[in-house]
Amino acid sequence: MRTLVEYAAGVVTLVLLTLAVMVGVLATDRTVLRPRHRVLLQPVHSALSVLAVGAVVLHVVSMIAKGYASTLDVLLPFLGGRSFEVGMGALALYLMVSVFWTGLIRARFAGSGRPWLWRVLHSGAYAAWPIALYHGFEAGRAAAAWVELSYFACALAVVATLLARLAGLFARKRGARPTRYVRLLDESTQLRSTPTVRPDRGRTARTPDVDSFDDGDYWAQLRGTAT
Amino acid sequence: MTRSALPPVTHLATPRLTAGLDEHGWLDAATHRRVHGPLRPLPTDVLVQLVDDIQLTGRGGAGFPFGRKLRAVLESARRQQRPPVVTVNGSESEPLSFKDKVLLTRAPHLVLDGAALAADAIGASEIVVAVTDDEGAERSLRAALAERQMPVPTSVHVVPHRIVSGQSGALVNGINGKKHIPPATSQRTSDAGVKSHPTLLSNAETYAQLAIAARRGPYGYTSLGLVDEPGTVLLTVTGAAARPAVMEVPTGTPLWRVLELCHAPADAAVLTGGYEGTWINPESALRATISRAGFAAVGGTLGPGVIAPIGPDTCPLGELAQVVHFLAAGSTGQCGPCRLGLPDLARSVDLIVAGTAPTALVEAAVEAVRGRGACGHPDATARMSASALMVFAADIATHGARHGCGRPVKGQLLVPPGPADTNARLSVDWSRCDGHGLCAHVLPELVSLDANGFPALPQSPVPVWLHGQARRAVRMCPALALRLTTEGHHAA
Repeated sequence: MRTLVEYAAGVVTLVLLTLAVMVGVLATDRTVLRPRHRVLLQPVHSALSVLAVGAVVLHVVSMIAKGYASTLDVLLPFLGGRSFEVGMGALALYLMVSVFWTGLIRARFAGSGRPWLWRVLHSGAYAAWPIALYHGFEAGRAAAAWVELSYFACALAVVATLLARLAGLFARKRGARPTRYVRLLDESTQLRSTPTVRPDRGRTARTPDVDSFDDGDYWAQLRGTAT
Repeated sequence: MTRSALPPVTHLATPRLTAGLDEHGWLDAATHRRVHGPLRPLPTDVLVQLVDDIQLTGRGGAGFPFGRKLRAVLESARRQQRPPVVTVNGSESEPLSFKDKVLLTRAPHLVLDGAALAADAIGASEIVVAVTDDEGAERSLRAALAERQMPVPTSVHVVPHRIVSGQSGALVNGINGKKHIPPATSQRTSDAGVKSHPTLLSNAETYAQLAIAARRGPYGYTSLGLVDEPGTVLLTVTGAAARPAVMEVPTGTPLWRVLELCHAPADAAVLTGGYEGTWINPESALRATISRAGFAAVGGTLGPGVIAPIGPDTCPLGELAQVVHFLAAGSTGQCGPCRLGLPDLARSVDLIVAGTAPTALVEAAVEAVRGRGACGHPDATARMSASALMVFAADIATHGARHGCGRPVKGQLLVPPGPADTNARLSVDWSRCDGHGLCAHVLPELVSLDANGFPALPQSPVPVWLHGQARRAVRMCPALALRLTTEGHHAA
């Protein structure tokens, strides 16, 4: 059991952290996802984050137990006398835990005047993740090529989603979203240009031919009141 | 509730239930005997005959014939070979009604007399008196029990003050140690009520009327009031009445006399029967006479005897909205049509007040809850709202044309402020909100999206059963724009 933890906890942390970051950034999308998808993704993001922090704690404890690092290395990154890679691991740990904490207290920022502060703090995830990846590749066992490629692909995906999100944000800031009024205008112009639902034609077809009736005065009068 | 917080007691004609209350704050055993005279227990058949002769009906609102209830319990007890239990419902959950609280707080011996009579006659094994948790009634009952002998063990049970906890099934649930909510499948209390015994359950005033009738006899009792509904009725006159009171009147008294005596504004629309009653217009109020049939003839409900006129200086639709929101928040949330339908109804009334929706919206919301749910709560709320649509048709038209009527909402219907946690409200920081719409998905009961995708939030408090969902919506808001506040404080 202990060896299993020593062997796997680090890798599991990296995978969970990757998934947490990806689901987190995915949950902000509003071009493809409907509100119900985003509402589902949020608890998934939280669950992955909890698991990732749990795994990283196991990883750190098992590494200290095995003697690969000391408590001092964890408390004072880069100053404990270990390699630069281990120091980066400790740094990633701190970032992870603080980002996790901002996630826990997120609702508090709904009342405060500084939602941007929360965003900045939670964006620490974008720093923690690459640092953790670096630590994983350099300090741990040599990874297979496909593993490295997968992480690279994940990173690309996150960067792409992030760019899309930023682009969408700026587009909205410029008021590019069509309002209900604009959409109504669109619909009405479509209606007018579609021949099948033209209201005029239906009415003329049902209206009796006025001049074919004998009682011309009556119909003329009716026509007069109608117009 | 202390004695001084209760409305004053008055009467028209000879006082019966309220005899002695103009002289004494609390009728102790000796005063009670002096005012009302001695009481002898009655044999079963004599009591049943008496109840039939005076046509006693339940005074809690439904008006079920007491004689039929009595027979059902006797029959059930004989079949099951178990002694019945007598239960006095003094919980008076209708927020506008005070007559039971007045009786229990000031003349408890009369109610206990009635319960003792019934227990003696049907061979009950125990008496349970249920009261709300506002102290006055409970203290008075315990003091009264301490100075008198009851024929069987008598206990006082305290129920939480909620609109549905007075429902008989909910009351029995509570006495049996379960949650004070209406049972999902209705069972007749006469078959299996308190501790699964056959249970005679009726309202406090009903038992007091029984104690009066036992002393006066059928002829003496029916000497006042109408032939079909003899005797007197306890009314709670409240709302915009300048002199609110609990008033004992003979049946058949014109409603306008009662309104006049309590200094109600002229030409007032009247909410009859309380929050779960019906509205009548000023013309009907002039024609109505005090009795179940007299109120029914003009489209009103006597119910537990609540008469709540509202003045011309308040916005009637705003008053209505407050009541509907209160009733919606009173749902226990166990039945879907009530849990989702009542907030819908309240929201549609809000839109009527704002003048942004047609009455058809309220009518649709009314239809969605009518006749559904485990108890009568959704149905009664629907009926009250539907009657308001008719009585206030002109006001609704004004609101539709001018987006309001210019009158303030004065809270004349005394919608009680909920406990601290029911004052939680959702609010949105509009400068942050970007119309993501997650809140409407998490909290469809309260939040709806406008055509541009931005949330429309009710001004009413978040019902207790939605607090968890509301906090979830706050957590989920991607823009950190939504918040839940309690009386100006930050709650989540």
